[in-house]
Amino acid sequence: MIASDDVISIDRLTKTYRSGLIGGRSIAALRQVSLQARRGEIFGLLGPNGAGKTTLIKILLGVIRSSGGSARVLGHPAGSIAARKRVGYLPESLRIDRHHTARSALRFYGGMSGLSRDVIATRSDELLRLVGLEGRDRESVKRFSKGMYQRLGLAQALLHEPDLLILDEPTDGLDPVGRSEVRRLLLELRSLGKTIFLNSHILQEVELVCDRVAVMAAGQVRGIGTIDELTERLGDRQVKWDLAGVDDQQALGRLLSEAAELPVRDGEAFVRSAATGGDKIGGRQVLLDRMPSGVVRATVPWVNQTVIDRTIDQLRASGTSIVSLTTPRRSLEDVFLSLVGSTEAEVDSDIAASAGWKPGDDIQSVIESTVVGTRDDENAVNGVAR
Amino acid sequence: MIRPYLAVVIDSFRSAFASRVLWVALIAIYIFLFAIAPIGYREVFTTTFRWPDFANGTRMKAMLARGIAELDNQTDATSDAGKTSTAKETPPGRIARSLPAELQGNLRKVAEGQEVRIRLDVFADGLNQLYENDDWYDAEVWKSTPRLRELREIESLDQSELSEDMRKRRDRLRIEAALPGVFENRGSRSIALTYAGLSFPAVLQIEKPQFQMLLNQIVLRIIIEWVLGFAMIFLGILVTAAIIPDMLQPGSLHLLLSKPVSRGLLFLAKFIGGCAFVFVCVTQLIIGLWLIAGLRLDVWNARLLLCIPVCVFLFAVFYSVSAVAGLKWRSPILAIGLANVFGAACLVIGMAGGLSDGFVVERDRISGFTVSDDTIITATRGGHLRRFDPVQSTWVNLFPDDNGSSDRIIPPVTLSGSSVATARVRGGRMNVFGSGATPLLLVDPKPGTIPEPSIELPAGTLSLHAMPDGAILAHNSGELMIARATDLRPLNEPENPEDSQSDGDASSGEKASDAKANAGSGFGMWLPKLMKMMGGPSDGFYSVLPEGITLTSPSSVAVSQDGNSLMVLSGGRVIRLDRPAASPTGGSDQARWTRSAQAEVTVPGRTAWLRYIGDSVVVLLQPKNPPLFFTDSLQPIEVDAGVVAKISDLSVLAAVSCHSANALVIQATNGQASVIRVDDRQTFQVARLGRTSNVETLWWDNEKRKLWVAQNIDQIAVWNFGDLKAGDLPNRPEREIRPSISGWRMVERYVVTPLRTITPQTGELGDTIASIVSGEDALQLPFASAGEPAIIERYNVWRPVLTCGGFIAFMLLIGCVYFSRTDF
Repeated sequence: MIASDDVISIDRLTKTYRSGLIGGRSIAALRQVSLQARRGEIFGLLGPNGAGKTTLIKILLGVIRSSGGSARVLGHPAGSIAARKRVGYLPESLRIDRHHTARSALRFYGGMSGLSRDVIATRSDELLRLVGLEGRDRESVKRFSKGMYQRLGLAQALLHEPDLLILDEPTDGLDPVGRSEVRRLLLELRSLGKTIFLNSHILQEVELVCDRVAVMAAGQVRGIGTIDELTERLGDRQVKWDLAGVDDQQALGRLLSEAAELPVRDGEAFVRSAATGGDKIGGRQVLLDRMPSGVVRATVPWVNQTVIDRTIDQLRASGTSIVSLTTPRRSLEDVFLSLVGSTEAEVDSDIAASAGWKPGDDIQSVIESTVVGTRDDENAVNGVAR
Repeated sequence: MIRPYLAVVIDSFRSAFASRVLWVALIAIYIFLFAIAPIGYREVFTTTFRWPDFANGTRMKAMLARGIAELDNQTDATSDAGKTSTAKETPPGRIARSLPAELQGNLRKVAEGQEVRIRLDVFADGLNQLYENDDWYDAEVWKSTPRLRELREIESLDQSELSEDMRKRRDRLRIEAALPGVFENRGSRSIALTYAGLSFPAVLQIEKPQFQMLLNQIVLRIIIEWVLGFAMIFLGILVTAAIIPDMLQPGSLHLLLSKPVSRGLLFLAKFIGGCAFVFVCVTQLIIGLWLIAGLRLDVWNARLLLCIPVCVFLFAVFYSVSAVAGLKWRSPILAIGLANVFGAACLVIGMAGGLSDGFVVERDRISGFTVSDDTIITATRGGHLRRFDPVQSTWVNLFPDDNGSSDRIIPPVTLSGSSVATARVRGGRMNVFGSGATPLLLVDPKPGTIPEPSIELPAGTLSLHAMPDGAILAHNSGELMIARATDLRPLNEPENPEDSQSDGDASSGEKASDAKANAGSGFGMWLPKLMKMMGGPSDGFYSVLPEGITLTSPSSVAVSQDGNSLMVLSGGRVIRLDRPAASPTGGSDQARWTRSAQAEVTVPGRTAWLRYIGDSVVVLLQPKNPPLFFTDSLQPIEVDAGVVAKISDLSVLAAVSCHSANALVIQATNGQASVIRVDDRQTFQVARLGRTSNVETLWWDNEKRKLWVAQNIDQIAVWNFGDLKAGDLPNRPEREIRPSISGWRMVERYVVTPLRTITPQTGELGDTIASIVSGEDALQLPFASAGEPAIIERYNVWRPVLTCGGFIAFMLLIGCVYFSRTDF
């Protein structure tokens, strides 16, 4: 269902890259991707290399065509000239021809957006000031640092006052001050009603500015929502107990399991030696780890406050001393890793299968050959292959 | 709408302008322009003799040898008598006597009958030494020589008024007057090139209009072809090859494609940007050339500026290859390499086409033909004489040893009695005189016959004209000579005893008079040989020009319908000659013809045609000058300005009088034929003949009123003019002959020509440039000593434009489709 305030509406979007003389080899870069970005929000797109983020952005911009599904931008088919008129784009590795100065580059890109020379001149002054390139606008871009390129790229993306900004790694190459300025700028643009579609590897940055986030992996959306929604829904919240005076760890394990109303099977071992660094030993949901100091760290899934209260009572009753009790909330990185990490093997096998792998073949070599042989899909798969 | 693409064009242009190669190119352009800017010229009197000034070196050798021999004989005779006399002195003799001793010695050997080869530059040096003093000149002796108006004017001046150059000019004119028929037609002024005010030692012996024509047709063409067509395009490709691959860099391309522009138009805009850059460079160079040509050489040829788009067009051909290669492989190096490989391929195909033209097509191209008893006999440019076999529908070579050569076939003419006369001048394509004697060839039109040699043709014969009485008129550089019908028989046929009697009775004519004049002299036995060397009548021919008249270049001759008058153009004069009345003794059939009228004309250039049109005559001038009309008594005729303008616009290559139709057909250099008609009220009309094109040559059947047109190399079309007065010109020929072609011609037609059609003929764009610069559609190469051009290089103006344009469109279409449909 596409809401009227959706700036970007993607519905079961598919992209398959084909290579070889008759297109015999194919790689699925996007599989049934569906998401919406709403007007006035900063939407973050996360995912490992090869997840399909760049492919998705290219389809939105019309650089490549989808193999299936649909995508609309600002109510127009993605990639149409009408849609592109209202989109500002900052590519990941912006390359501006060396014969340009900052001002002539803005004149060129403004001209390509159909702006008159007067409008370009006026807007250029404002934007160069905004991105911190004022006074260096007559300088050849040959002398620009990576950060200055990014600032100039941002300026050109904003030149024609687009309704939607698609930014691919906008803070890449910027120093901490620059990053902070960009973040401030993004928030300012959001306050002006602009929609920003942000692709970034820097989770902290996404966490700080994005209203909603989609996590992609293996060409699929693994999770989508606000940061809170993701961390709540996908967090697997746990309770960590540091306990002293524990003589019988098996008994402690059973106590914690029963207090949390977790099933316990006979003969289940709950002990792990942190000192020896041996294999993790524990029940299916309770993990015990004896520290060198003799304190036992118990990790138990969060159920609710009543269970915690009951567990405290039972521990105290058993003579166990509670050194500390923490209920840590999981970060976005945790969520990201949990969503992405579990899919890495899946991604590898997907690529290998799509590349014609059969049981018995060396899967890694198949993946590498696929990566080497498919130039157009480099961005989609090389991260996974590494 | 257009703003985004304009931005791309400008950006591509700036991108190219940022290239260092460009700045090297610009510096090279300005160094070139500054280097040629000091070139200038000044006009000087034409004085110094050079070897190309001699149109007929053999004639000069013979005249000087005869002159020195006559003087020697006279001196011997008078010394024997013990007294001195100069009464028998001749101008050639006085000149010969003043030449260097070694040259005199050689001339005496010539007079004694020895074969002595004297180089023309030795003659030139010898004549130039005559400028040192005037001892050789004697006004009394020169009294009988034909003196040009210029000479008369200079001689009328006071000696003290003459500058050194004028004195030399006067001497040169006296020498030319003494040796008529020897020299090429040269202007009174020559061009001395200067560089930064300093004169070059050599002088171009051409007048200013010819100098300007030379600049336009040759020099500027070469500069534009080589500097722009080669160097500039190579540099342009070097500079612009990176424009497309640079655009395809990921960080650049994705940003460009995110803008609201069409991909196809984006590619085209990039392409145009590269061309615009070359346009700016070419414009600088051509405007520089134009200014230098105008300011320094007085050649203000605005057409030169039209070469700017042509050069950019030529660049676009190569750049389209570079752009598509850059699009596919994203590598400037590969794009440059492929553009060069493509250029080499075009060159190879062009060369194959050129070889095919030279060795296959030109050999078969008809240069002259005649029809006798419905049998067509043709001469080809390849030196073949052929008869058309209607059964096999093919051309049959008439010379058994015919394998193409440097021989020149004199266009055949039909004599009364249906035999055809022609001649094969050995080595005549390189030298108008050929090597050795040239027999007249008589061809029986019946199948299976071969040409039979007949009497010897006068040396240097350029054309033959059939006379109504069955005689034949030979025209060479200095003489008009007739052989009677009775003398025109194969050598192996017995001589008619009556004719022998007639020869014996000859009472006038040069042969007879010279024989008498020299009877008893020591060198008299060599005189006929010397006369032949001079281009005089050979056995069986007698001169018809009145005493004291020698043809000078440019010359042209027309025979009246009844054959009793000849109209002759010689240099700046048109002369009417009438056949002498038959004498009661019957000995007048070898008499010189009489001059009955004369008119002065100004002939610019080296070629002109004199032709009958009805009862009038017209002098067609080159290049594109108004024609001059005269009555048959050589009174000027006022002709409607519109008709004159139309004829002036025709770039004449040949013309044939259609006596019985009161018309004249002009073959233009563009391959079209036009008809000028005249009615009884002396009103002239001009119209193009149907849709004629690629006309090779013309022949008029006076009896049947049919115009036979050789066209498209070796095809024939027959146009029935009927009664032109009764209606319009026919729209189409009544009959067309399309002979079957040889294997090589099949290869040329079905392999080479299609290949040349589908590949851009960049080399042929030189023709387009030449046509633009000169304003002509063909380059005429005047045949040595001939008044009428025999060789023409017709410019291929539109074929290269079409093939190159089609190729550019095709490549750009490929580029647009590929760019639009590819995921990047």
